[in-house]
Amino acid sequence: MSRFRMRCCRLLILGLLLAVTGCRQLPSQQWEELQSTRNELLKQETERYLPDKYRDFDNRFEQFRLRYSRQASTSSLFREVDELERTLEALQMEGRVLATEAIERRQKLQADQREQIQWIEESLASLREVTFSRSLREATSEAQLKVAQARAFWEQGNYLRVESLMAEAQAQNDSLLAEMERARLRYRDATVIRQWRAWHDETVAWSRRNQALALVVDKYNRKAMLFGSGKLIKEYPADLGWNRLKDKNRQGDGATPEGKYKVEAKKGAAQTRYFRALLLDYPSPSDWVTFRKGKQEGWIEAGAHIGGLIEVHGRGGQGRDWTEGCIALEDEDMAGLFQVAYVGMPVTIVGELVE
Amino acid sequence: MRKGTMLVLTLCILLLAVGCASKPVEQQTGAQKALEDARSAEADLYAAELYQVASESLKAAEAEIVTQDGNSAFSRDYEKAEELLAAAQTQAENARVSAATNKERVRAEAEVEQAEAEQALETAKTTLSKAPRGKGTKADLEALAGDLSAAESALSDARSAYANGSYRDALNGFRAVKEKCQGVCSEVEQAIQKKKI
Repeated sequence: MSRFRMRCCRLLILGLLLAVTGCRQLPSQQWEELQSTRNELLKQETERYLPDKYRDFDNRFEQFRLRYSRQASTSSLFREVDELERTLEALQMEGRVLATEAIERRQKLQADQREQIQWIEESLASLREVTFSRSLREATSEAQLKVAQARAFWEQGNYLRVESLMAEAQAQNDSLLAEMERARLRYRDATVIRQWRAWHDETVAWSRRNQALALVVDKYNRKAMLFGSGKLIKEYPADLGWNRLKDKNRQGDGATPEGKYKVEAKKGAAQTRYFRALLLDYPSPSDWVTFRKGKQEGWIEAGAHIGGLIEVHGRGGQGRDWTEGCIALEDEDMAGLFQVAYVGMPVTIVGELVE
Repeated sequence: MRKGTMLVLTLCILLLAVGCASKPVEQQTGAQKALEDARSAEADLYAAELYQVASESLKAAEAEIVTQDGNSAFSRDYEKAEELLAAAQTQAENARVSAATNKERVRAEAEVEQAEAEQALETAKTTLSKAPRGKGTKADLEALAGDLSAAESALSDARSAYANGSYRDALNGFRAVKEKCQGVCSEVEQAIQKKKI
C-alpha cells in the first residue's frame, strides 16, 4: 500500500473513532434522572396541588429539552456540556423539592380538611338549633348541604374539590355567626344593660314596699324569678319565644317582649291549652310608642300588627325556645305559680341581668 | 482495485453510521394524539391511574428519544423509545375506554340518585304540609320549610351539574339532598309526636 493510502486509512479510522466516541458526551444519565423526577411530579398531581410552581418548572424543563436537543445535533467537539450539566443539576434539585412539597400539601390538605369539615358540621348543627327564622334556617341548610358534598369528595380523595366547597360553606357559616352576633349586640350595650337592671331593681323594691309577690324574667338565662317582699323565693326554668334574643316589635316575630307588665287575667285549665296561664297586659303604652315609631321609620312593615296574648303558661320544660313570645314553665312550676299569682302582679321581663 | 475497495468500504461505513437509525416521529405523534384523546374523554378524572401511567410512558419515550439524539449517528438506537411509544399509545387508549365506562357508571348512579332525591323532596313536602300546626310546632315547621327550600336549591344545582356532564358533582349533590329531605321527614315526625304528648 502506498504511503498516501496508508495516511488516508489512518485518518479515516481516526475520524471514525472520533465520531463514534465523541469528545463531549451529553449527560444522558442525568437527563434520564430528571425525567424520572418529572414523572414523580405527575404522579403526585403537582399540576393540581401547586399549579403555579409546576407551570414554572415545566416551562424551564421544556426550554432545557429544546436546548438539549439542539446540543445533541451539534458536533460533539462543540457541545456546551458543562452548562447542560449545571442546568440539569439545578432542575433536578428543584423538581425533587417540588415533588416533596406536593406530597406535603396533599397530606396537609387531607388532615386540615378532615378537621375543618368536622368543625363546620358542629358549628352548623349548633346554629340550626337556634335559627328558627325561615331565611336563616335556609341559609344554614344550604351550608350544610355544601359540607355534605365536601365530605363525600373528601372520602373520594378529591381534596381540591373539597377546598372550593368548604370555602363557600365557611363563608356562609361566618355570615350566619355574624348575624347571630348582631342579635346579641344589645346584650353588650351598657345603656340597655342598665335599663334592665333598673327595671329589675324597681320591681324588687316594689315587692319589698308592698310586701307582695312579683315575677322577673331573665330571657338570656331562660329563667323566671319569683320575689316575695323583696326576697327571691323561687326560680323557674323557662322556655321562651323562638326569637328570644330580640325584643318584641310586632306580631309573628317570635320574640318575648321586654318591659314592665302586669298580670291582666288568670286562665284555668278549662280556659287554656297550656295547662294554666297568666295573661299579661302586653302591649304596654311604651310598646305602642315603639311600634308606631317603627312603622314611621320603616323598620316595621306597614301591614304589621303589634300582637298580643303574651302569657306565662305551662307545657314548658322542653329545653328549647318554641313559643311565639310567651314564657312557658313546666306544668309543676306553673301549678305552684298559678296558685299564688294574682291579677295586677308585676311581671318584668329583661334581656339579661348582669352583675 | 485496492483504491476502489477502500472507497466502497468507506462509503459503506458512512452509510451505516448515518442511515440506520431514524427517529420514530410517526409513533410519537400517534402516542401524543392517543393521550390527547384520553384527556378529552376526561380520563384524568374517571381513569386517573391509567391516564397517569400512559402519561409517564410518553414522557419516558420522549426522554429516550432525546437521549438517543445525543448519541453518535453510529450508535443511535430508537428501539426502546419505540417500545415506550407503543406502550404509551396502548395505555392511553385503555385509559380512554376505561374513562368512558367509569363515566357511564357514575352517570347511571347519578340518575338513580336524582330520582331518589326528587322523590325524597316530594315526600318531605307532603309530610310537612300534613303536619299539625300550633304554637308548639309552628316555629319548627317554619324552619323545616327553610330546610326544604335549601334542598330544592341544591337539587337544582345538582341537575345543572348532571346536564353539564359533571356526574361526580351531580351524584354527591343528589345524595346530600336526599339525606337532607329524609332528615326533615324525621324531624316532622318528632314534632308531630311532641304535639300528641
